[in-house]
Amino acid sequence: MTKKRNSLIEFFATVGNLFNFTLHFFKVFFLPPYEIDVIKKHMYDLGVKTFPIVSVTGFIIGFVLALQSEPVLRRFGAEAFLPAMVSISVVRELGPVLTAIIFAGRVSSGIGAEIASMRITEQIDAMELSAIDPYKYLVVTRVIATTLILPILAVYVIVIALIGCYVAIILSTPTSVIYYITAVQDALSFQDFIPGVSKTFVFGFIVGIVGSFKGYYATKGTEGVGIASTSAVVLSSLLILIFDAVLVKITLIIWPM
Amino acid sequence: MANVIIQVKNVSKSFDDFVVLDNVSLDVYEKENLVIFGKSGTGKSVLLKCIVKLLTPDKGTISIFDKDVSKLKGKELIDVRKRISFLFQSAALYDAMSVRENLEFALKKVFKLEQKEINQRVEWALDSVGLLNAIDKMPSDLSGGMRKRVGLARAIITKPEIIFYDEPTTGLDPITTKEISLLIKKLQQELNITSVTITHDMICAKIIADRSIFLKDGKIIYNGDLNSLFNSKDEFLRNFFSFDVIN
Repeated sequence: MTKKRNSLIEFFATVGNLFNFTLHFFKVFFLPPYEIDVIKKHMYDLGVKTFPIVSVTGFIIGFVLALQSEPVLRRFGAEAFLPAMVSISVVRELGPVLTAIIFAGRVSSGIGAEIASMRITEQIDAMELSAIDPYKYLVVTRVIATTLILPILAVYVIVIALIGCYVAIILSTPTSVIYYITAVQDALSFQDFIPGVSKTFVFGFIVGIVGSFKGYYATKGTEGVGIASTSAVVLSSLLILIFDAVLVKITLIIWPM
Repeated sequence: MANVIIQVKNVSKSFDDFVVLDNVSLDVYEKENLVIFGKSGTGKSVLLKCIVKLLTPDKGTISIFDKDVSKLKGKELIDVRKRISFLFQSAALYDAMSVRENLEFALKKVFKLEQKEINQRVEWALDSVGLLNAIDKMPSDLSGGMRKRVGLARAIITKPEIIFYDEPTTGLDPITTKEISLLIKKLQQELNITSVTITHDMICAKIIADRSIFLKDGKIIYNGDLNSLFNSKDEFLRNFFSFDVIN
């Protein structure tokens, strides 16, 4: 009973601390220095280097979705709707969310481990004593980088997934590229694209802030680096899914299907 | 009599129920080299971290340059931190940056110096610690002694008035210990720096100390010159400094 109570207290303490940590981001976000070069470097390290893994993931999402859906649609004589079905699924939901989850797995854990390692080796204290704000230099720059790079990755994954879908279709039925592109264009509209990609800004922010939070308050020496890394992935993935549900509901209120 | 540059008054600090500092009072004078002794876990590092505001004491007041540390924030805190340096036990070099970048970091971000002056200072600092040839190396490529030297170069590059050393020679062989200690002493004399050093190392203490204190169970039990401390009649202190390990 006491153990359960302690876990509950710990959970709410984490939520409260994360909230304060996030609030501090908005307090210092507009203050100089802006560290544009550092942000660019993080965008390259955290984002560009993620392209290979999301390329594979994106292709497989589109490919498998088409393979799985095609027999079902064929049973109802609706296989012509396959490009429309896959593109709407990928653009509205699967592309953004799966990219964010992959991104969380790779980047949130990386940020958590890197900052935690700096914490336990006293590099953050050293920075603070050099009169440099470590929050601004380490956290704000990473959060801005993840927030800006994830939407780009998500758009890229959507395109790759649609290519994967086309490959799956031509394996069963010879179809021209023009016909496929036209079918996708007809199926998609502005209302599909903007909400799907917009929410990736929120997911990118979550990945950056959670990874930084877990690293910044790491304790327990080397063990703490592992804990920060793992818990950053778990918490950011969970928050991505929770925020996805909320944002989808809000999107449907603003743009009903 | 020199001016008091750091004043610690009745400072206490606990972690949960464990009292680390218990009503500690201490004055550090301008340009003196104070050495802090004590068994591991007796609050030496905590005292230093309270002085530089990495930790907040539960009770008591600390002032540096006549400024109450607990009330420092924003620009005032930055101004005080620009006048001090801290050499960590692990050297705490930024491992994603080269030696040059480690040294340039504060000069660029805080002191906003011209690149020409930054280059001059980097060369001077590395030359002072005898590591000019390591300028483009990464911290992971350096040995323990070299890391300490680079840490020392980073500490002096801002030309601070006070340097805090947290066990600057721990883990080093006796020759490197002597070299680093002599280097600390030489730099202090050349740059007129006040220093507060935590050490267990008697070679290091003998080279750099003007005065020493001994912390035991969160209290200062000795405050005076080093020779009297080494020749103390107190059984605990005699045991602490005894080389006789087989009795």
